[in-house]
Amino acid sequence: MPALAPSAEQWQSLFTLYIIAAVIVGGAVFVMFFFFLVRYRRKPGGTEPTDAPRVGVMADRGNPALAAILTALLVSLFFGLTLNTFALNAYLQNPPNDPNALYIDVIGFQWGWRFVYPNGHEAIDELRVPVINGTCTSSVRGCWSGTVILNITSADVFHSFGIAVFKIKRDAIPGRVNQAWFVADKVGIPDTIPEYREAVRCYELCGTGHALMFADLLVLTGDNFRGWYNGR
Amino acid sequence: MVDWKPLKRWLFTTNHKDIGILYLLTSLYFFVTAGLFALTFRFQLAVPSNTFLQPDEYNQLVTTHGLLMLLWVITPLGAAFANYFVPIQIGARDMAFPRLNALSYWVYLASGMLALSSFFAGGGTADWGWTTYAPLNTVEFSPAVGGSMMGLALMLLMASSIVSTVNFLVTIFRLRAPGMSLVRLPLFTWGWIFTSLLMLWAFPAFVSALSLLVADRAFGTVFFTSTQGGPLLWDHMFWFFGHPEVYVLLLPGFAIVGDLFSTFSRRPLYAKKIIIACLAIASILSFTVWAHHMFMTGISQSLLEAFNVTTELISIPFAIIVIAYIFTLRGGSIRFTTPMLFAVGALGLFIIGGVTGVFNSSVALDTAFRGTFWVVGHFHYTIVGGGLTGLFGGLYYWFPKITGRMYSERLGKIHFAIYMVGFNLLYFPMHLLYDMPRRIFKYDASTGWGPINLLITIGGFTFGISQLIMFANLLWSARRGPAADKDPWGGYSLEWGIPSPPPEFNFPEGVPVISASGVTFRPSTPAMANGGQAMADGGHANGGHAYVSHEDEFGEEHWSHWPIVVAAGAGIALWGLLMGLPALFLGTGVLAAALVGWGRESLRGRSEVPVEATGEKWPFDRLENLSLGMWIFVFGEIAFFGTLFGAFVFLRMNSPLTGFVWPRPGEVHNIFWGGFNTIVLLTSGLTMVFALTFARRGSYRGLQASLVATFALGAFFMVNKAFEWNELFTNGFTFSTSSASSIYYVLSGVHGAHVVAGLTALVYLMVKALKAGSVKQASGAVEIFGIYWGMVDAVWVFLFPLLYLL
Amino acid sequence: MMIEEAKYAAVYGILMLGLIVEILIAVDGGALGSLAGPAILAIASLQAIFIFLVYMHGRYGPRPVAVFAVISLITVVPLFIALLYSVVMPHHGSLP
Repeated sequence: MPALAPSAEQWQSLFTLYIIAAVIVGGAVFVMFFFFLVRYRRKPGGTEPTDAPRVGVMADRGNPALAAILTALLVSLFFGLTLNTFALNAYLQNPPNDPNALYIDVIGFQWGWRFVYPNGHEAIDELRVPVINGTCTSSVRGCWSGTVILNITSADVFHSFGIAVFKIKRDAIPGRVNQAWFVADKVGIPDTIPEYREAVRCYELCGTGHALMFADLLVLTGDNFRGWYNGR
Repeated sequence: MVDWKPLKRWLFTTNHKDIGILYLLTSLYFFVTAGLFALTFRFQLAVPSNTFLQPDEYNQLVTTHGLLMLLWVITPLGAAFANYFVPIQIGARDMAFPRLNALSYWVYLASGMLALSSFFAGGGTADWGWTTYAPLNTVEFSPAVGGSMMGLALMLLMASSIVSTVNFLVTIFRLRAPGMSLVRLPLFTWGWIFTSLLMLWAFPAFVSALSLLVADRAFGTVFFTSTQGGPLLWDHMFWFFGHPEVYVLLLPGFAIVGDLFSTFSRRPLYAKKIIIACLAIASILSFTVWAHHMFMTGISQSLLEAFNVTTELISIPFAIIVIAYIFTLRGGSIRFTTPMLFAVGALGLFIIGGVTGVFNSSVALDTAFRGTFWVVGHFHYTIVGGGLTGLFGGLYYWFPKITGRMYSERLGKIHFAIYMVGFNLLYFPMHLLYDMPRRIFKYDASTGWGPINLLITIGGFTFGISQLIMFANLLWSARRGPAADKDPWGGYSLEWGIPSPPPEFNFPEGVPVISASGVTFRPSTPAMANGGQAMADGGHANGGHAYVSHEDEFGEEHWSHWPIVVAAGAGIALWGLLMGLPALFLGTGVLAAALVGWGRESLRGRSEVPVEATGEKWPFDRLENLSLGMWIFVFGEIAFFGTLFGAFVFLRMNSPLTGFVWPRPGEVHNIFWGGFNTIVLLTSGLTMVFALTFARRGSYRGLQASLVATFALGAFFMVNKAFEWNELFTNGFTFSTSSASSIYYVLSGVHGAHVVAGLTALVYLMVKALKAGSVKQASGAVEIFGIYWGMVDAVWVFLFPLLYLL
Repeated sequence: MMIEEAKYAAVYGILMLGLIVEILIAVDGGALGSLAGPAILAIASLQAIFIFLVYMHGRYGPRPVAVFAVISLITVVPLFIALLYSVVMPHHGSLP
């Protein structure tokens, strides 16, 4: 498996956790279900159970303890899943306090994305960002660490901004600004990394052009990005 | 000579079984329609960059597929079975209000026709997705008239459902046979109780959201275009309805699955009381989970995390029910006939849908899933897999009872096999497309989504074709199938104790009496619970007639031509509201004439279903059918006005944040004018309770005087308000001035409409008091109207401070 | 019988009194400050409860109805909480 960007990697590990829980729990239920279906199928010459339902009568049976046990099991399972979910949520929702982060305003419109950079540069349907730069720590000045913080809004209707390769998403709502952030781990353009083609998409039906509301992702080296950023 | 009898029967029937069949056929018709819509857009998506459909056509088909399937197919299919079998299962001869039942059906049909005709209204129909997100739903972005028409169709449908809900709840609480305690009710009836309660509280919330939307589109208010309201207001109001709606869709089919498991495994349901308790818990919780549809909206994270937890919690009662169903099989002797196969399939598919639901509860995983095909796969597994598959099981299960003939078991099994293959081929691969946005009309080959989409489309057509087998099977068998026994399956609910198909009044051998040892039938007692007193809504309980002896007379009256006319009038009027004045006037005229006809029919002493004196009525023993019906309606109104008040609070609290200055008290509205009007309305509340006292005391003059006073005060309130509106308009405070003016006009307008409806009913009441043999006979009707009028007062008591003082 | 009527008239008096107090608070809200709004709504709630208990109950006073009415109210409570929360405590509060 190719390396993933940090946000996608974290998402993937939570997803895997849920898959494991789902397969174990769902699998156990299905095994029991099918076992009962086969085991208690009607056999030739078999007799009806003595308490078989008949018109007007259904015997009362069952054990409330089962419900209590099941509740306890599920609550403890959910407790574990929820703690992990909340941890990832805090990570995805709160951009790091990084002085070298690049802030980009994202404005969704019918039908496209406008990206406005701190120096006023605008790009439509192309999101250019610098790749992660390990040497650009918070004590260094004048460099881009690769942290990209997006301030997302909409100029007209309800859109939803998502980048599938990074597993980030946030609704673009007129009159509100929502934040999302990511770090790109791999340099590339759509021609070299196919997942970057149409990587930014709208995930809420927004009218006729909803299907065509996407932007390409271009992850550049620090130098190339600086050249584009200053050259415009 | 043409034989008019069948036509008269099907157009004018008020028999719950006939109405059930009408619901069944109509919902299956919409099922085919909405299914063809789905196949059309699946064909579009089969290959990348397909040009089969235009984007707008695609959006309209996606939208109407969703709306029709959810609201005009699955719920009415459940309602079909509920209409046919709930009265029988509780041991009643019919619904509590047969004419209202017929009205619900015809209004449902009228709303469906309005919805379909919206395609041809010019500019096409709604194309904003069934979730109707703001502000795409406003005139600025979706000017087509068809969109507004769809909004009106939805409101009409909600009205039908709310009437039906009141009817069912009164029926189930008040018309049970002797010994049919609540815990003895079959699971299907229990499922329908909770479905009805969910509809009662969730659907009015949708009506209030739609009221704001239609006001925006038709009258230029600014709820969804102003920054104080906007998208988030719609999101909250819509999903507050939308999530309980999910369980409205699921519960009828899911409950049938339990009954089928018990019947076909020959074992009593495991832990039935706990299943019922779980249904109750899930129903309540369903009102606390909606914001999981809003995880990405950037609202308070602690709020969203709370919703994450409630969403997980709601899976626990369902998990308990699933395990209880599975445990039902233990020690059984399972017969795998077609209904059982569908029940097994429904449970299996529902388990998958439930497990993926836990993924969706995660506020963090949602960053990938929101708005993708994963979600589409998930909810089709629950609603189609758990809900519709269960309902199809019910269709095969009850087919012999409804038609008196057996279907072909072999074709049924073939249908099941292809159904399951098609279903899983159609919906499972959607989970793999958790990067692909839903509702896109095309995608590029470079995305790599092509092969999976082709597989989904193949699955879709397989799934669609499998239904043809069912239709062929059932159509052929309804005419040619071998005659069915009274009880082909060994079921436990009462419908299996009576002939197939059941006779007009269900229980030919007398009143069913339930005890621990089973059911016996006894010739019924003449006494009725209300002792022959006149029932309010004009219904006249045939006082004095014996329960059985007036069978023939009741049979004669098992029809009314007013429900269909009322529905037609309402449908034409709403159509005319958008399409032109002639139709509007025609529809309104028909509607008014039909309501007068309905009222006259009631005054003539038309019979409602008599209440069996010894029947089970807990916990509403002390109320009468009509007063309980009115109370249940009031409970729905609480949800309706509650949601509107919620909208007010949202706009008001949002104003300072968005830089809008809400008018200070007295700045726009005249406090003393409004206060004076409040005094007028509250005084009419006082005269109304005096009317009841006079009626009970037998004072005709007192009754008539207080009714006239109530009417005069109510009318004066409305006139006063008209002047007030006029004054505000002249001062430039119009519908579209601001969010403050919008909510003022909608709240006071909606309340005013309630007052006008009340005044109309008051006219009826005065005529009734005039005609009633004794004044005391009218007291029931006076009391019921008093409940309504009290509600109108109570709502205004909140509206006055909200609109004038805050 | 006369007791009934006296009860109705008394409730009418209470409703009128509540109305007057509400208006006084609204016109001269300075004394109560930020509590003016909640106080007015509390009075309105009391008025509604009186109407429900006395004007709407007629001769029955059935407890099941009251229970159902309370459940009906409870169903909309989460909506109010969520609406308030999502306005007052936005996560990324800023506006463009």
